[in-house]
Amino acid sequence: MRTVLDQHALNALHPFSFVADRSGSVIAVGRSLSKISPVVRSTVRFADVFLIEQPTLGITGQNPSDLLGELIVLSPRAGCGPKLRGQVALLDETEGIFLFALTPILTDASQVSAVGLEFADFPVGDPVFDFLLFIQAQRIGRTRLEVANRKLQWEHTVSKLLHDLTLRTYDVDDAEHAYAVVVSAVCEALKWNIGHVFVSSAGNQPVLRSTATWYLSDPLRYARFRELTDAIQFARGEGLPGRAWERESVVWVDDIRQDLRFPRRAGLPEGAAPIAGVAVPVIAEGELVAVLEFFTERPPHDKENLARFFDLLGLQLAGVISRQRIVKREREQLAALVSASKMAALGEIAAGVAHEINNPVSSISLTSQLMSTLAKTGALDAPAVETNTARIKACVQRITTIVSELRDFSRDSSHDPFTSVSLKKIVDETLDLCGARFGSKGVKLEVGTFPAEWQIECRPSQISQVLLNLLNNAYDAVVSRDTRWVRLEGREVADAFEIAVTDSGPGIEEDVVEKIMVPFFTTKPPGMGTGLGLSISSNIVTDHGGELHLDRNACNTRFAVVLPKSSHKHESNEAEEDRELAP
Amino acid sequence: MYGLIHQAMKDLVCTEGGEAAWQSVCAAAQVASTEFEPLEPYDDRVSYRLVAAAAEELELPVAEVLRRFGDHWITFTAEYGYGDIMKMFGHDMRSCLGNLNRMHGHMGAMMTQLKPPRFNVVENSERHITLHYFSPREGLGPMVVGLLEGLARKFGEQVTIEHLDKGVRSDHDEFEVVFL
Repeated sequence: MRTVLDQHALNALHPFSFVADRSGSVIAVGRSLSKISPVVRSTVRFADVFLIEQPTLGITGQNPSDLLGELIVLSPRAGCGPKLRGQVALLDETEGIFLFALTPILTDASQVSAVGLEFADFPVGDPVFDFLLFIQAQRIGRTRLEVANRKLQWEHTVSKLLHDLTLRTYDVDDAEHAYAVVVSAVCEALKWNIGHVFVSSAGNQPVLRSTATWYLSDPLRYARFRELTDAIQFARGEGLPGRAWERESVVWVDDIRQDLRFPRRAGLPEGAAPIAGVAVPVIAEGELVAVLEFFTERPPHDKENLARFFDLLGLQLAGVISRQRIVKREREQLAALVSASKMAALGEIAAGVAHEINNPVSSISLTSQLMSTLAKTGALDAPAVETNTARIKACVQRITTIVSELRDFSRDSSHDPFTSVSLKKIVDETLDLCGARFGSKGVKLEVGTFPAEWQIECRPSQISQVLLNLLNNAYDAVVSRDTRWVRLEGREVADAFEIAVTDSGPGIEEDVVEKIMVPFFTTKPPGMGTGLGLSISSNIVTDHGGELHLDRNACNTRFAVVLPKSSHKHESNEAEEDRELAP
Repeated sequence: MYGLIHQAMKDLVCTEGGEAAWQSVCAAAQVASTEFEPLEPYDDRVSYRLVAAAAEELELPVAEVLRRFGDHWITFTAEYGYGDIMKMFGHDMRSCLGNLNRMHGHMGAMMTQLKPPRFNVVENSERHITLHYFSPREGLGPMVVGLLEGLARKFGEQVTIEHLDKGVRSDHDEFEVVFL
């Protein structure tokens, strides 16, 4: 049977193929082949147009009959089209007509579009498209995976950095310190060159002014940049920080030399300046407090993720500043409460103190009367003067001591440094203030032994306030009872001292126990107590690294204060001061 | 429909309303995840629920969401990674439309549960074609308007498109496309 492959069939079924005679001369060309080899046409020898890449060994010649039954690979000698692969088939044995049935070798859709091939150039249903779709889908899947992986890695880095910054700024008391921590940590983590902070100045027309907080990966290289920055202030909307202020969001500058809105670009030395930068506003409690700037010499390639990070950074820093403000307000409020409580305690002991002062005053009065009488009778000789003036001096000294202790007690001691002091001294001074009160109402005050060598590091006035509160509470609890006593005793417990105040009262009812440390809770009649004594005492003791608790195992009412001999708080304060002093 | 469609819908909603809007759409559509596997088939009801929820979230008629989706699909698939494949579909809008059925046929090799539509192009004149759109799914005609608009923009061609709803002249949707 003689078979004929006309031009239509060649175009439809084998658009990348050609037909050649037995000498290898091309006699018909498929419609799409010219896109791969522009020079192929009738009459040319196929071997002049295509290089036979396969088979290369064991082939006797380059005539079509030499290639029958082989898998052949041809590459176009001209142009940059893909290689062709296929086989040679004998169409007409009598005439010596051969079909080079070929299809392009394609492994990527981009190869197809690169040579201008389209869907219509291929036979209908050509599986090469299925293959290309699979390849592309696989590539997309791999790319998505890589993107997801990079995103995960980035998010891990960012969350670790933010977590680290949270830990490092949590206990920082001042904003400047927090800015310094953040600026250097961010620059080091992201490998950016410059970090800097502007703060908002107060006043009717606030501006952003440069601060001394800088991170410079190379201080010499960026000295001019710093100089230019320190010399400039920005109003709202001006320059990079001013725009971040105005927009209340992160603002980028992609090329500071080209950006006309970046005034510092003038005057920058060639090659020693960053390229891109970002400004991060810090808005705490609805008010702009600072703008952080970061610069890099390498243009950032992942601005979207970076922008999200800087957004979070601004929010986190705003949280730190807000927390600092809240803590400061709480401290001020606590100080006011402490003062109020102190005054209330003073009110309670006022009568006792008056009595305590009245005694030496009476003694002075009597002594002076005696001296006057002796003088009138001529009996005031030198020894008598000596004896009586010594008595008067002692009384004056006693009054001076009490007044001094009162003054010490009543002044604001919240910022006093921690000092090492004898516990006995604190106890004695406290008893000086309240002892008379107990005696006047027949409340027996039993005081245990406090050896002079028991030293604690504390704010003495605050510890005195705690003891006075506990003693006053004990007094109030028993003053109207038949059995009236209060016991103050101390003991050494490992690295701490326990000071306990026990009274003859029946203890505290179970439903009240949970509330006794709550501010303004009191069981005393109206006008008799502020309800602040125990809560403030507890705060003071906690601030000293100790603990104030009700001893629920005791038969009577017993409050115990446990104070470390050396306060941790004190140690951390000193460390803080040392760090601030470090260069 | 395949997850790739839903991912394109996500991209559209995020572009128009942000990530939070997509979260709301998924919640309203009662879908378990806000992400979809591109080459996994999903129940058509998921797709319809997403479209309805997107319309609600973006405060747009459903037809307008479908139109925007069709338009967005052209850019989405190119950016997603099928740009080079799409270049093979044709060098202009006409040749591209003529190759849509073949393209869907090849997609079926990879997406074995694909239920593709069929597009018959009738050349009325040099500047006027009628596109006959057959689909096993109801109500997606407006999406084809968006697809045609997206294709015209991709090839830099000016066209007018008129949509004749299913049942007006035939049992399928027809689109009159005039090249300006």
